[in-house]
Amino acid sequence: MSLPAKLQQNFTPQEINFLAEQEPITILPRYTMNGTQLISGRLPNLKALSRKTTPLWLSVLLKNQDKCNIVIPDWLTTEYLKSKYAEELNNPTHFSKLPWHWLPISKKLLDAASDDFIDPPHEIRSLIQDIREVRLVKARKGIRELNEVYIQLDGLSLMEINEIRPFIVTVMDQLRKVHDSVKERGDSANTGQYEEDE
Amino acid sequence: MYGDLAHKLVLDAKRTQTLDKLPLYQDTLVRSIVRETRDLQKEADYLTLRQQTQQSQVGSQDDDKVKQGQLFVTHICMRRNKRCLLAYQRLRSTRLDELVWSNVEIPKSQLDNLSHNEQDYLRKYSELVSEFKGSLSEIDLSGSLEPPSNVFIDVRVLKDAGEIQTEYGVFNLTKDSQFFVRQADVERLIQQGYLKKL
Repeated sequence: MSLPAKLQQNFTPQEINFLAEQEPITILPRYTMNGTQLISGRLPNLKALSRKTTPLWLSVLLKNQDKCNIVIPDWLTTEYLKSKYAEELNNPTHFSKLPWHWLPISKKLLDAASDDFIDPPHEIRSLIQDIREVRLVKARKGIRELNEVYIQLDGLSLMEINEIRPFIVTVMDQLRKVHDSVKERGDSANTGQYEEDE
Repeated sequence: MYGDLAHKLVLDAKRTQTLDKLPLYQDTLVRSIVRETRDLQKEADYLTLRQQTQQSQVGSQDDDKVKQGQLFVTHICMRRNKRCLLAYQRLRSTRLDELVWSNVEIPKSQLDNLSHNEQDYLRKYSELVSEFKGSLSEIDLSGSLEPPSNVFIDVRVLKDAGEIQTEYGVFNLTKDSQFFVRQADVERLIQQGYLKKL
């Protein structure tokens, strides 16, 4: 097929990064610039030191050229992340609510704009790593509960869902097939029809 | 027993799945399966003929049932052969499609492994694909599927390619030289293995 088999079922991490780069983020321009019309939206007129919201990819592009500072979102502070970490530990059965793209966004900001952080970036980094590990363990534990009908993944972000998707979807599909065949056997036991499998 | 040959073919197809190059087309095996199917067809024809002629006579009912069973099993054997042949051929054709879409020149050693019909199919499919690309000429449909992250990239030349003309200018690609170029210009050359992205 035109699409390679490895891309047919799942996103690659690069694709998720790409999706995360569309998220709006606030910047603090250093220069005054005229906006331009882009295909995917408009770059607003930028005035030095007045906050504007642009997509992440554009913010990082400007940041790399030293044309702006990025305003770090509220959820990337040690205080907030510590409270989230505590929440994760206190609720062994729930994932705490984090932004849909928290992993790629935090990675991108830590790479590109580590000088804009108010709190020390290494602390943020280790907190993010901690939260990620706690959530990974929870996700592993949740696999025990797999059934053929449904699964509830509140609060899991896209990157985390994407990691477990190939495993969970195939297992659930197999379970569903086994379940269906047992049910069908019960239904058609009376009629005894010969059915060819697909 | 009937179907053993087809089983061999399917095993070969399964092996093909994990190989990165298409192995030789199993010409003799396919031929013998087709011959087996033809024999089965002859048998089926004979059985139907017998049944039709005997219908006028009053045969015992048990005898009739045995005949029906024979005919049924013959049909199932033929159907199994057909399924195996189709599965084998379909696997190979999807691999051929992938080859066409991967946008690299197909090496001679690969072409020799194909059957005559497959070579025909390959040629016609590439024609179809290029026709499709022609109608959407602004987009490079067989280009890299990785989302773009940087406009400009560093590339190193792996193989001497002489002077290569891209849409935006001329490069002199001598081995082990390094360039800072627009990604869109060199994507094709990276795909073909002349350049390595850094």
